Amino acid sequence: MSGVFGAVMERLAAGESPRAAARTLGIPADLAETVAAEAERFGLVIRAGAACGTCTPGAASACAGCPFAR
Amino acid sequence: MTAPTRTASVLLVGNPNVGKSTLFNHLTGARQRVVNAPGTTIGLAEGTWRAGAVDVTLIDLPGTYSLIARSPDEQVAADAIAAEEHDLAVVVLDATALSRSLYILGQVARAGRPVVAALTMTDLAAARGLCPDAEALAEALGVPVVELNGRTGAGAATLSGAVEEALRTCPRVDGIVPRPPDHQLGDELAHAQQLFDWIESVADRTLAAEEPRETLSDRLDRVLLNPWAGVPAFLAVVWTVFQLTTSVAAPLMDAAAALVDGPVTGGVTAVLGSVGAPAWLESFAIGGLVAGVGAVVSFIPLMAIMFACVTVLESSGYLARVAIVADRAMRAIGLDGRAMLPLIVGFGCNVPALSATAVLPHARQRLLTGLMVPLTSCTARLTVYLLLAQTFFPAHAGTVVFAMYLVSIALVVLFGLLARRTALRDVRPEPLVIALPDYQLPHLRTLALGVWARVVSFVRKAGTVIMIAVALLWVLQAIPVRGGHDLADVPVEDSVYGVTASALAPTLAPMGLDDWHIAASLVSGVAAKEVTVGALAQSYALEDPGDGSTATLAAQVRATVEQTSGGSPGAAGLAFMVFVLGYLPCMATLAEQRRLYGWRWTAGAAGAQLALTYALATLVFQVGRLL
Repeated sequence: MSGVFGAVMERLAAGESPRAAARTLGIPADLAETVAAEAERFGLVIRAGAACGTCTPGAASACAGCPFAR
Repeated sequence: MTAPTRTASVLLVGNPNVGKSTLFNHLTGARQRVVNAPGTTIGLAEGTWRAGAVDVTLIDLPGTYSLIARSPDEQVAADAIAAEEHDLAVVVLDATALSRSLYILGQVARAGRPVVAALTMTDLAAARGLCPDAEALAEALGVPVVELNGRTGAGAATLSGAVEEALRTCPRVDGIVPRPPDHQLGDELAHAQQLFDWIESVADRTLAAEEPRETLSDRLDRVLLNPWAGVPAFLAVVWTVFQLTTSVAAPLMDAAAALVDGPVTGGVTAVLGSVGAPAWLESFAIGGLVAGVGAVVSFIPLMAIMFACVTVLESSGYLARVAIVADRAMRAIGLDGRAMLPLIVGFGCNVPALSATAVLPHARQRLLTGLMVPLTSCTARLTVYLLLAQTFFPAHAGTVVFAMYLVSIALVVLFGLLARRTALRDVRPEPLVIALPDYQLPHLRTLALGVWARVVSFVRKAGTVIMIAVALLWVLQAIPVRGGHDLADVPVEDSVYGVTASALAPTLAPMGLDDWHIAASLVSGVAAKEVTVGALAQSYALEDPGDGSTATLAAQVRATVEQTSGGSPGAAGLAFMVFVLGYLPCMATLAEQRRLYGWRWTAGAAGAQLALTYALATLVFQVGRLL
């Protein structure tokens, strides 16, 4: 990966939020956020909370005590 | 007015919520209708508008951030832009998020459509000191840029003229090469990278540079994501949660248990006695329902505190940071960091964690993670830890429960390493890249409502499971297999339940747990982990101590383990907890694993997990009794 896309991905992989990556790289925050969103469409980035996307309100797929299921 | 000389089809394109539909309504007025997008049931607003001398059919496409569609609406927008029959696209740019808008503009230009840009939200952007210069933007883009006010319609006449002119001149965006007709889907990532470089160059020429300022999130992340400080910080947070849980919940749980054991049991006994209920019904009601459901009731304070803690950690954005910290640790030992999110969910419940493995792109990675998930210690197992920790280590219950979570993490890592080096050698570890949210303060009202909803859900779900399980167990306890007893009038030891549990109990002897009550609760726990404590309570409640005493469940368990462990109850208690942690997944987890991976992988993993946990629990007891 190259250019601004690669640079943002590198910062995200280092554990920075898109906004922090934008500050580090000196680019507009919405540019870094757009990179993150597009990378998610390509399957390169996982959105925080996406792992529990199966737990929709009233989902029956979790046991009673699951604090993540809603 | 000049008579129209031609007609044209123009697309209105933009991100969601940029004022596109307001502009559409302003331009077309009442001259609009809703039509289905070709081949779909998705409605598109289509209207007519006079742009100078041209009669324009204006189509308001669904808002989208990208033409790499993820929903039917976005696909409609992508298909329309790719279609050849449209003459021009008016792309609405949000001045407050120009880079995001430029991405869709670049994609439209790459699709080969002539473009006119309409710049909206300039008043908001100006208030934030962001406002791009429309003229500079037009120069950078090489296409007309018209400043519009969506609310007042100011600028609509200029847009009309620009569209008329553009329909004649077909302006193309500078720096964007339209994609060839035979382009490959695999090229999209490379083109996206080029588009982002182009956006950066346009932003450089049209936006004032922002002064980078360190925020509270940055300062917190410097500590919490630091490779050396992050793991101890996480462990400190988890330890605090369990200290809080055990110290605050324990007296509340005791009070709830006392309520069930005293007034509730007494009341039910009195009512049944007054109506002359048969002995079997009293046995079922007191020893079965009240004991089992009472266990659920007594865990409500614990669950409420856990729910509150996890909700705070999740909504503050910290839980996502845990995934980053754990990712680094996992990659350091050659495991896939992206497995961290499903594994974290596994600490809540294993079933949705298995579904959550869908975030992993490769089938073998999903399989490896799915096999590790049952070793994450779900909340249902916490109820067993808490009972045993308070029974055997009352002064250090929080720390012991915390240690069980460390054991769980160690088992996950050990199982993962074993699988990676044996059956799943071909899985290639890749890093987790996560779009972290900024830290947020949890909203108290939302927190309270969320905890309340989850507690109600817990009572409903666990109560139902316990009721069904208790009824089934009671039936097994009512069927005699030896001693010549009558149906429903049989000591538990002589029932199907007692005899089966007694037959299994000797296998627990190496762990110092050779007792039928414990064996029965472990077997019951395979149905659902929530049932383990209820089944233990039920098996003791059905026994007549013969001396009229009513010892608490904790005292009864301790007395039993004192005996089975040969005087090392602490070591046997720890072995009990370790065994509960990993001996077998619950039925729901096994069913989900079988659905996802087939019965061979499910049975193989369950067997390996049982063997690993059995060996570990035995080791804990045998070493512990020597200390």
